[in-house]
Amino acid sequence: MKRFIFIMILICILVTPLLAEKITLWTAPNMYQEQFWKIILEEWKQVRPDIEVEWKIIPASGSSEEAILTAIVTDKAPDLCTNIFSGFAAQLIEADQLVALNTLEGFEELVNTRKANEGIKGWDFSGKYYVFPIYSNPMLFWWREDILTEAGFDSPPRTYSEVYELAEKFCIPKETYVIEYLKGRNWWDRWFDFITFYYAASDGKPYIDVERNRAIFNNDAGIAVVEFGQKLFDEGWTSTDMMDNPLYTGHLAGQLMGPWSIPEAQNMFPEIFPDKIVMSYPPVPDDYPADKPIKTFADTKGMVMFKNSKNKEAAWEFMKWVYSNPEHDKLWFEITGLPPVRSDLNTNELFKTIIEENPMLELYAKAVPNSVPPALISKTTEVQDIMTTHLTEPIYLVDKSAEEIIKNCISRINKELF
Amino acid sequence: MKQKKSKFKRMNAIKGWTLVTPYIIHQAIFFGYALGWLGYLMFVKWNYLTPPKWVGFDNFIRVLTDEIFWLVLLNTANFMLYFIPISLLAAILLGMAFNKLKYVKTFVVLSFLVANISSGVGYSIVFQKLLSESGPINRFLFDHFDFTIPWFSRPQLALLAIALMVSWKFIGYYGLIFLAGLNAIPKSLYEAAKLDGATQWKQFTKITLPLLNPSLVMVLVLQITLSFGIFTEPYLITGGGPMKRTYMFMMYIYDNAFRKFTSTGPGFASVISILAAAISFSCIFLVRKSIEKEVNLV
Amino acid sequence: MSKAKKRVTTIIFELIMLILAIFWLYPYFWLVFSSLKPQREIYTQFWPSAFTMENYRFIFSTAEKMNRDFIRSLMNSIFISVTVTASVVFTSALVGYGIAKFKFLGGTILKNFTIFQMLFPGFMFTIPTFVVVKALGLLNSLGGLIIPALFSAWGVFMFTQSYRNIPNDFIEAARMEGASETRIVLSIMIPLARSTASIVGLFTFIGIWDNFLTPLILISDYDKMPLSVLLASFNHEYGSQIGAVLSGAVIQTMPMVLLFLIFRKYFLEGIAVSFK
Repeated sequence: MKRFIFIMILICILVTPLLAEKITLWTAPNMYQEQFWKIILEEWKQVRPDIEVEWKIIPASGSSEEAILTAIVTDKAPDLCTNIFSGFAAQLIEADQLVALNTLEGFEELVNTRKANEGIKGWDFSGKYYVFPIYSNPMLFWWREDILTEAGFDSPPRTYSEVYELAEKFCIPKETYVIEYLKGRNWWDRWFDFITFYYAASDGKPYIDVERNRAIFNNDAGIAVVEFGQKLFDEGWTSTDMMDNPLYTGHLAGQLMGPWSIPEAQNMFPEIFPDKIVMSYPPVPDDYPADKPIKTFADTKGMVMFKNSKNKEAAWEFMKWVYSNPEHDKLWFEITGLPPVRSDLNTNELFKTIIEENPMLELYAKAVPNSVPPALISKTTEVQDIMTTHLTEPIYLVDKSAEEIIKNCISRINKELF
Repeated sequence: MKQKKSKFKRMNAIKGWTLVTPYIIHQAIFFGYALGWLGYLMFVKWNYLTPPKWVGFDNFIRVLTDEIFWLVLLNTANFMLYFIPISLLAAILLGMAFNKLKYVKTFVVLSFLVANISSGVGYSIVFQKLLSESGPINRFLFDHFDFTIPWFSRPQLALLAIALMVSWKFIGYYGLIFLAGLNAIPKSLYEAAKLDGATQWKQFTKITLPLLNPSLVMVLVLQITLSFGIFTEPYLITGGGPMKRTYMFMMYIYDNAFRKFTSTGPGFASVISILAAAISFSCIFLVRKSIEKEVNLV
Repeated sequence: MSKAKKRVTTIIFELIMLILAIFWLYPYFWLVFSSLKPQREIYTQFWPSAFTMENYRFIFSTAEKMNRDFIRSLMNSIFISVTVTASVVFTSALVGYGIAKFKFLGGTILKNFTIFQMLFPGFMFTIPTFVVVKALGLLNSLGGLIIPALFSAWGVFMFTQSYRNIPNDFIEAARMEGASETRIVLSIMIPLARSTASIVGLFTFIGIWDNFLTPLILISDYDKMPLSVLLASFNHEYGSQIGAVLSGAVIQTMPMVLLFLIFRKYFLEGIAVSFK
């Protein structure tokens, strides 16, 4: 008898894992986000041992978008995936790969509990919602306060002329630079340089007309941004190839940063951050009205469910569980510093303590309403590759007027979009 | 007797076939079948997900009218213009130096060969840091001569930098090829020339160079093949920029086959690879036609 | 006088070449040296304030917590490279033996076929290999990297060439004693073609260890990546951790350097053979 019971128990132990449902979750390759998911998944294990979540970092040697596309091709797509931006969602929807979340039970309830009614508006794809927005990252300028003070600035430069003024006082050729104008050569870098500057200069005007599939930054704002860059490069006030972490080593006065830089700065450069850093919106052309608030770009990412998922219900259970508990958002905000898409971010007591402890986060949280998301086009990669080759690189490589550069770039983008 | 011999012959053939059959099967799959796919893919539009669609010569037309194709071709030619003369000249000199060395030969040869076995990813990262604006080389230049070289942010400099890196890696190997060529030249030829009163230079142009012809052709072929297949260095260091001027065939193939497969896809990319192969064959053919000579070692 | 002068020139020449050779090794010195410096001194200070293993600790422990398991990846690289190298040396020796020592029609055709195969540049096979590996269900597995590489046309060609110079008497003698053909290859043919075996082995090992494009296309899981791809992806995502990136580069580069230095004698011998 004893033996029989023993065998029964053994069988149970062996079979239980087979009965448990299994879903896969992919999250962004980012140290702090990974920390968050580690804790959340531990908690999930306690709450729902019946649904096993296999967690993986998006295996990206290039961009996460490439990795996800490759996974779809090879039939290895996960059930759930974070880090999806709107343009990529558009591409996936075109390829019919995503589940419309609003067809699932309890969607509206989840949106309400998450206080995401406002935030989800930007994710409307002809009346359907395929992406659940997680966070919104506005871009802000970080300045070295000590450098500003030494140059006689009480507050960060607001206009291009003020940036030039600072540059004249601070820049030493080949050693120190005033701001970082270009981020890099990857297509996504254009969000964090040209498009951010353009949104600031144009009061948040779109750069692509989504209805007509046309690029529309051939205006005063676009020209001003390009001329700003040309001036900075001509004078040697910026460079494409600075030292690593120039802001922290004192070789750079100002740099555009997303909130994801906060935890890294805290951990790696505690002697600089936050004491010697002040934040501001991106600089604007001189004729920008002095009292008008400045807009900036926000990188918004969300979670999606793939059509090929074999366990849609379990996946949906998991998603609902993660985003219906504000404590999770608190934990997220605390660890990653990325503002969750919630309209009560600045009012809810839960987040108040975090914001009070870290005034830098408060600025980002407050910038969320002033920020504009990227254009909703499925060819984001192609368009921004063109921007790299025909807009931002010519700024320092080609001796042409800003108008000519913009015209050439726009005609190439239009050809691609057409 | 005769019967026995033919039986032996048959046994021999059977044994032979048994030994080579696994190879034939393997190559039938990974060479033959794969090439078949390549041939098929050229004529279809496919995104790996939905069934392929027959499009005839559409892919050829699209590749040949894609301005990036011509840019990549230009880039490759431009790269070869730096890479081939630099590394060829350096390798010939190196081969001759190897030949002359007595005491430190092994160490010198090994040093150059160690460069050759450096890993592609590792050495790309190292050179990226070494040549960066704030890296040690530019720091040295700036401290002593008051200027820096923006290696990877100017199109021509970026191509040159990659050519120099690849030369660093390969001239030891090429030099060894020339050394083998030099060793094959009979010493008696030089002695005879000396008796005739030929100068060193004359000996070099009349004896050494002509007799090095096979090595020269071999190195040129290797260099051309490398130029068309280069991937890791531009992919990791420049990402194809600035102004797409370090964008090479292999990156172009990779991007279209695996990154942009929703718009162009493997069919389009197969056509690129066939055209690139055809062009590199033509280059090799031209080299052979124009400089290869029968060498007679008297 | 002239003799003394000649001697001086020789010494100066040897000295110059020695300096040049050391200069050629500079990137290696810089790499190893920098990986032992504190992160912030890599660019700024030639001589570090203190040598540190911090960068290596980061690669081995912190990176693992971030799901970039370098040890696992090192094991993957070793496993793939060793398996493929062993297989290529063995199969090439076997097939080369079949072609060189058995007179049959297939042998001659096959020999010409290996030369024909070597004409195809590698980049032509990038896409079809992906498709075939996908069809075999081997995508994102180590098998996908190993199985297509188990045989090598170049290896077969090299062994066929070098066997032609080995007299048949050895084989006949072994057959008399009743040795099987596999045994003959293993205990007679490979040892006799030692330098060919070592050059085929070394080049195969280096080629597989170093291969970046193929695993980049075929492997998407971090825990199956060989070092080359993991290092590239680490460099991409944590590029500002330059010390850690460089120590990763040391780990990826040094095994080949060591292997090369250990087998340098065979390597040089083999290279001389392969150019003939």
